[in-house]
Amino acid sequence: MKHVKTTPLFFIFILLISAIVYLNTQQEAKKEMAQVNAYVTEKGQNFWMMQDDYLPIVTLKISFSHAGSAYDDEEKMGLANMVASLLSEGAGEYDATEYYAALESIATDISFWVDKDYFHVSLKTISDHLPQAMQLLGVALTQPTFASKDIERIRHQIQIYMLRQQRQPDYLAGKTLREELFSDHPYSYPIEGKMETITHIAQKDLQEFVASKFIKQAMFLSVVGDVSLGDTSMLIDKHLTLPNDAQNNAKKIAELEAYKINKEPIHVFTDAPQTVIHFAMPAPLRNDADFYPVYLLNYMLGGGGFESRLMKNIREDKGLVYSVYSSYVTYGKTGLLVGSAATENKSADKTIREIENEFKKVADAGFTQQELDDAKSYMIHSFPLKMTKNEYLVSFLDVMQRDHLAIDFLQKRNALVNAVTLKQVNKAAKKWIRPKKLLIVSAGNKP
Amino acid sequence: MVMLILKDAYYGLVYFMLCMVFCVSFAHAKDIEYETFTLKNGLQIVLVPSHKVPAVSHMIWYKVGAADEVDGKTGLAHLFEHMMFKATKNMEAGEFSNAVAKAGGNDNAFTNQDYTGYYQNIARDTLPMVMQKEADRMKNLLVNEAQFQKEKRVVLEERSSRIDNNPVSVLVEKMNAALFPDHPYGRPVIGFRKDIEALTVEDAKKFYQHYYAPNNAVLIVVGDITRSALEPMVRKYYGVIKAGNISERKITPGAEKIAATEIIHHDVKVKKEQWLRFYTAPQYHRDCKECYALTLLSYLLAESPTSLLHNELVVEQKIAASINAHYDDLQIGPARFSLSAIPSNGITIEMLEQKIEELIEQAKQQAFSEEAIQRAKNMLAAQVIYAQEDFTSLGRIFGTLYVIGKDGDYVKEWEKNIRSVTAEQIQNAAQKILNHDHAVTGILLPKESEKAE
Repeated sequence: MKHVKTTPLFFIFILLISAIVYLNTQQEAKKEMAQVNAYVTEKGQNFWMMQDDYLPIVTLKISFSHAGSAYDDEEKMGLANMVASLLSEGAGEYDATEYYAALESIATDISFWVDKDYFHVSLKTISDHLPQAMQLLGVALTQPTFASKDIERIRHQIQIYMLRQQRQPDYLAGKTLREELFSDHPYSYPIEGKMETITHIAQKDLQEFVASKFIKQAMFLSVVGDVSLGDTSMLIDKHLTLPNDAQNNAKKIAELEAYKINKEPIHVFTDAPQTVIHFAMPAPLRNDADFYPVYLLNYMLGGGGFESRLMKNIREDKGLVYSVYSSYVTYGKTGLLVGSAATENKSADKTIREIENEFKKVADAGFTQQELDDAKSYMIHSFPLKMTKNEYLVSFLDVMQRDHLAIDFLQKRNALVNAVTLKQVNKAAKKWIRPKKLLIVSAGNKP
Repeated sequence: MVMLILKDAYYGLVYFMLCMVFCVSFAHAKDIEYETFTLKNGLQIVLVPSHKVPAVSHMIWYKVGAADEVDGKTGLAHLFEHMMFKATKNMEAGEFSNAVAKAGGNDNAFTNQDYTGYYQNIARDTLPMVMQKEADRMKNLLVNEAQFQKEKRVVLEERSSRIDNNPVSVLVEKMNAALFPDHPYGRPVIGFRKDIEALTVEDAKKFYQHYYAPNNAVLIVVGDITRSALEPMVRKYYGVIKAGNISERKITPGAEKIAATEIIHHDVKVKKEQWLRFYTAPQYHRDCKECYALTLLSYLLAESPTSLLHNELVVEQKIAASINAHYDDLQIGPARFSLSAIPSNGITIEMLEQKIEELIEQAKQQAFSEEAIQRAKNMLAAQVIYAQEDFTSLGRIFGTLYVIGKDGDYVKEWEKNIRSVTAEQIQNAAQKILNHDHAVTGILLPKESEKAE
């Protein structure tokens, strides 16, 4: 295996800013763990990096903004997902099987997927094989083949995937919730599109997607692992130089401020022994001042496993469910508190009432100091434990870039959590937890 | 490095030439180190050091699982696992999990045919607290009627989520019953609904007294701690617990006969048919000659996107929308080699099955190419490096090994053992295992609901 020569740093890098992250736990002496650095390659590509030579592994993450499913055209819903499914099915000189064979030879994993806002790319390889891995990633992003036989094959696979879900209660509840919540906003689009919309997607659409979305201005690039700065920068310039679209014609999608929820729980019939319940409520955006109060609120309500109110009441006290939880998610245009539960058909209505009641209790009376102290204690002490895997670290760097957080965010994050007061949490609860804004959808065979 | 593992000079030469083209070297891969010691009360401890962050994964594994249950009492091991989070003489119900959460850790448990495990991922300085509480519930659990009855309802909901609401799981449950008719592996780990409903608090108490003792457990600690720091802690908390009267396990190593060769399951929740095939296969617990060859066979046959079945049926002929294989050899009783496929629209299950049979025959008659084998070996060998990133998955591998009576050399020698398998051994394994006399086929088909939609 050839090693890449390290180019002298002064030649190609401008060191922008850096932050040392101290990962200390309780009485542990401060231990210097990793340094997050922001760089620009010679060709002008920004990237954030954290070097870590504990294991001979390198992990890379890319997010392209304005390239998620919500940016698909309505009549070609599912386009972004189809691109993600096709990039490793033939690129450059490789056909599909040759491409996967090349990845296997170097024990490398490259994945592509989409969410509502972003197109995601991840790469995990053994350090020695980073040059070949980057070459393979580069051809997938810049020279995908999109042969018609592969397009038809993947289209067919996606249609079968859709077919398989159609009677699953979990899918039906989730789909109905999404459609009710977002109505005609593009956030209502299923990521994989619809049976009819994906039949409209042609080779030209896929090619145009790649040409217009995989551009320098839209790319957030993060690297973590056992590799030098020089090698990383050189490999980025060699394989990931994307078109420069200075005009930035990125498609815009509508704001979501206007969406209104004021509905009784909705039920979808499907013949299943257990009813699946999904729920959602609007929540603050990532950059809202209420982000941390709601983050802690969610832990206390339903994010904190056995410590959460939903779990304590609905599973531990009443024995109605195996699983009930909430999570706080933030998209580009809205935040949401979402959650799910499953219970036998005859106790579905009772479980729905209990979920409603827990939201109402939060709105009426907020939380106690003890609950907040416990939540903060978990949030603060669990943070360093999330640093074991390069994959987690690279995700932090990715989110930090996308959400425009400071480069020393990892260092400051626990202080941000710790600064939240009970007054702030309960004020945020009054503002955001509105029982009338709680949308609940169930699917199953409840009486 | 790779040359050393080959005894045969001819193979060595061929291997070397291939190696120049395909071989991956893991020159700076850290070798996995581990240490073991045993307390006087019989508790075995395995330490797997990893010093990247000041954290540890603390796991206690009991050598009891669903396979130790008797007919009519299925689901007891798993339901009991839930009860371990309830009150002890010294703790209230949920107190342990609450303490772990306050310290920023995560805890959970798992039950399998061969074992029941409990773990906490925590900061290193929380380890004494966690050990004290884990030792407490090994000995001092209070199983109370009201909590037991409530937990049964939770477990019945868990069964609905995992099995009854999921048609493939229902089919798999039926196929296991047919594949292992006279073996405990033929019964579901979570238990049959009527069995769970009939379990009593007395069953749980007896189960606890019978199986939960230091000499029936293995403690796995993965993370940032040394033997000299760990050992006194283990002695202090676990060393004081008396050994139990543990009888030898009676999990027979092999299944005798197959009850049915084809199981068809119709389900109203199914919109697309699916085909499955289970073969009984040898397990690593015994003197397993074919285990590594079978691991490669599974990968080369259908796990990989470059595999024979995927390439022929999904990419070239487009008969299947997806196809997969799985083989897991780390268990005490007989293993399962499984295949699963979804036909393309317009292709019947019979056509799909016939094509799969043809290709299985091909794998028996004709060896896989050296190139394909090398790729599979590269991918499989690297899994040991990737696994080291994750304390929990590393702990799961070590725990399973010690519970089934093996040791950490399996991990240390994984790459060597995978790399030394020959094309002929893979072909022989296919000939021996992929046969109808110890196979069950499962077919999942749609059914119209009788209830109005």
